[in-house]
Amino acid sequence: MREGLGFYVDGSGWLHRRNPVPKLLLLIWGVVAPFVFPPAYAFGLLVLAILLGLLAELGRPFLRALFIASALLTTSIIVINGFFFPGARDVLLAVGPFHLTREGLEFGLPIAARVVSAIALTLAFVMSTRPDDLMEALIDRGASPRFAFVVLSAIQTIPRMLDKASRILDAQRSRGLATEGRFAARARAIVPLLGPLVIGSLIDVRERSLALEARAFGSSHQRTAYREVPIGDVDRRLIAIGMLLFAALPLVIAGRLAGLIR
Amino acid sequence: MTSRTGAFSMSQFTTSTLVLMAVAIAINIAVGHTVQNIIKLPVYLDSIGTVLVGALAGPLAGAATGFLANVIWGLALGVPGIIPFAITAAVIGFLAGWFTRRGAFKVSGGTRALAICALAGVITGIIAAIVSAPIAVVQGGVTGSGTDALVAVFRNMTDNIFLANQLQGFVSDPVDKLVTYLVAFAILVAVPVTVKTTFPQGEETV
Repeated sequence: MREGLGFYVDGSGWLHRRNPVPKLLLLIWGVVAPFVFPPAYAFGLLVLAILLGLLAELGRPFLRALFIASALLTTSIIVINGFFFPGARDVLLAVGPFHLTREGLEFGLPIAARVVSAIALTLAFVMSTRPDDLMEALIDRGASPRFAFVVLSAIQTIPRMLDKASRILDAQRSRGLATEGRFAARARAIVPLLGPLVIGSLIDVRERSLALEARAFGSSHQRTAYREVPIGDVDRRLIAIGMLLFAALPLVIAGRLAGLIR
Repeated sequence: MTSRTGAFSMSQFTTSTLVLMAVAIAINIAVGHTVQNIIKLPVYLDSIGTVLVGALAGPLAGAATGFLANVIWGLALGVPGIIPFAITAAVIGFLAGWFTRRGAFKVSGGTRALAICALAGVITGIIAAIVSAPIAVVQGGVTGSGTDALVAVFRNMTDNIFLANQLQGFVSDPVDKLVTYLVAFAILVAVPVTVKTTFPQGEETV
């Protein structure tokens, strides 16, 4: 993971050129919608989500990340539901004492499709959106710059903190700390890891907040932006479409309750 | 910063609190990742940062940290499945702040304080389990982690999918939060008083 950019990959595809705000709006809709529509719709939404990633010229890295992120979870959803579905009778396959049931799969597969389509949309979003552009665009729309600071600062700190944790573990191992083997030995490894990592970070916080205050972080004056994130006609239209899509969700729920949508 | 303010007061969000929140989010992710995937222990330990913010800055700051940590974790590492659990994480952060005001992290309080801390950890775990189970069921009752095996065990014992997840939560969460609270207590013992009192609620952890 590159410093502070998370999953972002450079590109000039259609999705890269969009303003982050309509993208975020449509992402939220796309993650919520599969759970609002009846289970069978989930497969269609999954195909759409993967097509979107490919049309956005995210290509192979997108498919690889999607596979890595969803393989374990999907397997788990299908195995746990397929084999351990309470009260299921229709056995499709028997593996020793375990039975793969039709009821379990009918329950598990649409859920797997929903979760994978949510992962696909999230990846398409994070791979085509710089976190700092997202925050700048949200500030333009009235979000608090202090909130944006927390988010961006956290995203920048994560890779450094992961790096620091692995360096501390290496250092402690070289002094004879056991991080493999018996459970009790591994449990004892928590203290020599957390001590240096967390206490050191807490002490740094004080220094950093003094440095920020010295640079007028707490000032209530109007701020100007270093990066400008353009918003075009297409983006405005996408926001309108997003609003309409959200307005449609209650109708879908009503339709399902009335038995019109199955 | 010595005067005590309400649990919902926005005055918890000082500059030092905001810097602490960002660091705490990274601590949650780094410690959670290292403990689960490198040391491979069967606990999550992904809310130490959240509990520390709740303790040092206050309930609302703790809740905000937990919420943001899960959203950022999901977006930055491409695992959106954990984003809905932001609700649980927010509850954990809020409770940490609330219990701190009742002496859970009073490190000068000796054995009594440690007992309150342990109890607060277990209660937090039970509440976290109650909040989490319905969220897990929406996702098919699994998370893709080691706790899925427990779900399978409980599904063999009960006919109710929801109950299976609830039971799994009651086994995993109190233990995890108890360890988290005790670790946070140990950290607060070691952090210098001058650093703790930089934060709005730091006095409560002296």
